[in-house]
Amino acid sequence: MRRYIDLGIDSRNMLPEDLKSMINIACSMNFSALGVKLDFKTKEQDLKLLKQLSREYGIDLAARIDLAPRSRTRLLRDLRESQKTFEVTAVHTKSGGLAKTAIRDDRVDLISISSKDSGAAFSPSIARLVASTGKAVEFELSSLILSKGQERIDLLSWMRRCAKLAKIFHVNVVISSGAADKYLLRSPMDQASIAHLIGMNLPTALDSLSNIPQSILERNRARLDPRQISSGVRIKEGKDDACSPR
Amino acid sequence: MMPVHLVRRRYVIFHVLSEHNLSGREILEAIRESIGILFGEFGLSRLRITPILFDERSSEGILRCNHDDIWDLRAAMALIDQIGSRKVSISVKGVSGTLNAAKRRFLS
Repeated sequence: MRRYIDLGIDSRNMLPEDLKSMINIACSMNFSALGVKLDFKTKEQDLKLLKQLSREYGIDLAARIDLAPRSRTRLLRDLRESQKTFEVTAVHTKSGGLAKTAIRDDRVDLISISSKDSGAAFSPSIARLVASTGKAVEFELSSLILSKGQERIDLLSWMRRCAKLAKIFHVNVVISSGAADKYLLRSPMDQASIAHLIGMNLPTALDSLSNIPQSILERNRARLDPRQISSGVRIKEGKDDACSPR
Repeated sequence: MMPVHLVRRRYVIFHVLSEHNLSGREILEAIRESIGILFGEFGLSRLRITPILFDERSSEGILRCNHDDIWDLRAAMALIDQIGSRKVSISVKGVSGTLNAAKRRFLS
């Protein structure tokens, strides 16, 4: 059975009561894990709240940071500051050069291509690079839900183009609601139906809501584990496992 | 052999989340409008949506539509974010092939 995950809950301008109400609705929609966007400035109290809510509702909550850097130096500084705290890191950028730097960095998990502004960098060369590094691109559906008229037409055509590129280059895609209030939350099947609308087939859309975000969370939790000293190198515990000098 | 039904149908059970009380008519109009915007008049005729029931107390309802276009209906419903100036979200609780099963399995 699939374990559905919405990595895009935006709690940055939200009261704790509203977040609780959203978590409650997400539980009723069969989500088993949520990625909650946090503000870097208030990370300590937010992380405490997430742990408490996770225990209270029995749902897996992952801390996520969204970075929108203007320069390479700024991107690297933000990544250095956030790498030990957040379980998911997403980057929004218009610049192709910055996008390439972000994709090559191990600390970045998602490249957001939800709007024409933040996703302007998603070209065939970027798609090829994303596919080769095993990273994922993210579609946030809230921008599509909130858009009207010509804006929605442009966004749909942009997303269809990106979905087509992702399909051609076998790029991992993550679909998330990007919900900043409870009215923007959508169930996994409803999100898959919107993904179907932008040209993704249903099994791929369902993978984008389950297996791909799940693998991102697992990889990052292993990375944040204090026993992991480097990628693929982990300190084992216990007497039997201890290395003895020869 | 001729098929018994030329068009196969599906019953879609949905739930409306809103802070205001909305009538079945308002919700049906919003769904029709959303389908019209996304797929046009041709889409509306293809989906052939028919309201079956709407319970204002539980904010749950059932729609009937064409079997082949169920994902288009779901997408059109998922893209509704307001009715008038009131914020809403319409989520599909389940889809069934018969009305009895729809009522038995999904309506609270």
